[in-house]
Amino acid sequence: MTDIALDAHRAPRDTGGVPALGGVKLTLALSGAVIVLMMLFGLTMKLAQGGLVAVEPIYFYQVMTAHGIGMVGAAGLTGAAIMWFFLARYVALTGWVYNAMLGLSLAGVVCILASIFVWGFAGAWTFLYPLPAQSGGVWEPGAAAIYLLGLMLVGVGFLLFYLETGRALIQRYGSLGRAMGWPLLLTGEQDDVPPPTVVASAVVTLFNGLGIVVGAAVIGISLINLYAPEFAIDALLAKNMIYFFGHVFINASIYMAVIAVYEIIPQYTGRPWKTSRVFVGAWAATLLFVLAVYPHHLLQDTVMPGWAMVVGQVVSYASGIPLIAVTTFSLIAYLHRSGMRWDLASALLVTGVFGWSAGSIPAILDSMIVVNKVMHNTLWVPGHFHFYLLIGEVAMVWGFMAWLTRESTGERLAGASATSYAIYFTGGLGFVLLFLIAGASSVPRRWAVHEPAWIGIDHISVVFAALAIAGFAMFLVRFVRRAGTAP
Amino acid sequence: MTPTRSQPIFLAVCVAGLVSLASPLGRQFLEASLVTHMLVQMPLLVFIGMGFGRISSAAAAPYVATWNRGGSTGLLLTLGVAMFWMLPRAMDAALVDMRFEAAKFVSLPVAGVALAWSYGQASPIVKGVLNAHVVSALGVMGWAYMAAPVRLCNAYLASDQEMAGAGLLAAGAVTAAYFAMRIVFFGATRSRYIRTSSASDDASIVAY
Repeated sequence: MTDIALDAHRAPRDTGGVPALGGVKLTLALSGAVIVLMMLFGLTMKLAQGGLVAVEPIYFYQVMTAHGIGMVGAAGLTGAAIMWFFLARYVALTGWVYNAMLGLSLAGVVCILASIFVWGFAGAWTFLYPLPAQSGGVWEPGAAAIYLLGLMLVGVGFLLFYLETGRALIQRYGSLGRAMGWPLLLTGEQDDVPPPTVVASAVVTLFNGLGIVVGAAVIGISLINLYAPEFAIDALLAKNMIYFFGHVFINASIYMAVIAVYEIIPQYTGRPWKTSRVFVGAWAATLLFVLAVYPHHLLQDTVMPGWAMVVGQVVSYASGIPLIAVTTFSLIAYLHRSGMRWDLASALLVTGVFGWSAGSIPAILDSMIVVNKVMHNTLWVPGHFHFYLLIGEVAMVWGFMAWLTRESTGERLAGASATSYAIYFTGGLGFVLLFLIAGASSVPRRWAVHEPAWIGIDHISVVFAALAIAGFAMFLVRFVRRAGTAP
Repeated sequence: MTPTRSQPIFLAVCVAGLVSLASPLGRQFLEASLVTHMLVQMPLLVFIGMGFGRISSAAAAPYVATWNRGGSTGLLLTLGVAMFWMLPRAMDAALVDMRFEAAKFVSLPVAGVALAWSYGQASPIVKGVLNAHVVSALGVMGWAYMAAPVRLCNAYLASDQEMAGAGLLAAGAVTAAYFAMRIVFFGATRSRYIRTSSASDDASIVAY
């Protein structure tokens, strides 16, 4: 193949040679709009819980389902766009595959939205058995089937995406093991060391590929069960498969988005992000941890084997180490005395790493079995994942979008960009902290109607949510206005 | 496959395997249980066909290349045959109707031949989709055989059915592990393809 491995720190905003660049930009614009729309759905839920607007519970759960799957899908798509954009600098990717992934995903989104808002599916994005098949008459099995078919379409799209990235990585490096830098890790071999983007992409390709295959199997099983209920699923097996797939998928979105940090931050600091033995080791550990950590979602399932619970707890502790000790510590080291110039892109990217790291701490706390017993069904858990998505993954994505549409290298974090950043960060951080406070106060999650004692927090949350949405809307307008003219 | 001195031995092994499986003793032994019927006899017939396919691929390539571009025809044939023999009704019929039994002993090796001629021609994306589909299909089939409230095959016991389901799940897990290990540790270094150029275009895959 043509060796297109280039210096990781080429000229800023170099988009040359990125196949399906139009598809990447379309992904970002559509996903950005979806994120803002889903935030409005989230605001609607908070308004309803706070008693500020009247929303029938049946519609509340439809909105909750759309909010969950919409955000997961948008996170996955934006992460994939970032990974594709930067991976194309090092390996030869085929453009039609990305566009096929985008097309299949959009077709899946249409199915999912129709199943929810036309046919009334409201079984939450996790479609846990037996809810899709046993709605108590709220929706027909056909609605659940269309939802699952939509998920299947998205899954097939992502499968194509990872097959293509895997093919390109293997073609360039010989095997995924080499692309993950394992020769460096195991023997110290310094020949053809892959850059951080390649290491991260190879790891994500492997673990999310496995996750999608498991997801396809459980979706297939659920579809059969919808129309042949006598083919019963072992509920515990179904939950294990769904959480394995779901946890891996949403983690993958963050691990793909962090590639933007590896590629863009060095342009500001002038210090290349190096592939060290520790870096490769951290990503190798991440590969194992991401696959093994999901049982921390099942700590309240008392019929789970004890060893699986222990694995979930221990791996949850350990999974913070590669993240916090390597990426975050490295970022701080690269930033220290670098004289870095702050603009909207760099501020959002650094914020993203902060949100990712800080957001994982409530998760680690919740993975302690004794804490989990009382916290897992409270708003603590939405607090944790909103933290690392709203302040983490999504911040990295908006940072990438801001970098992609920078007008000049002399931009500063001032004026409208500073205002939008301040509004978003204040709103977002306040919103997630209130989630955590509500969780610590034992406010349950997934309740359409809140007790009077809880709605004070809801009212304050509404204000912060509105601020975060306003900030994001400003980012989106800025991106759309500039995307057409940016190279 | 280039002609080698080992080819006649390989051919003899395939023929002997086919004859053994088709013999009354072989059939009675393997078809007595759903597990051996589905998880031993039928895959072996496909593997034997793949053996014939490997031996004959070089000779057949000029004749099949025009209607098997990218391996699409052969792969569709393989999938069609596999879908038919996945039906419990088809397996039942093979046990009581010699025409179905004969069709099984012809169609499954033919599917193997088609697979051997076609898999290498397919693009990496198509191969990946097939591999992923095999893993998830084994998982779904395994679950279906274990979860079915009634016997799916009239000829076999319910306990046989559960064992076959467990076997399919195990096969899915082993297959997934094999594919994962292969791409992590071997990747393209195990490729049997010859490329005419160094470009990434899959059209450059021309032969084994």
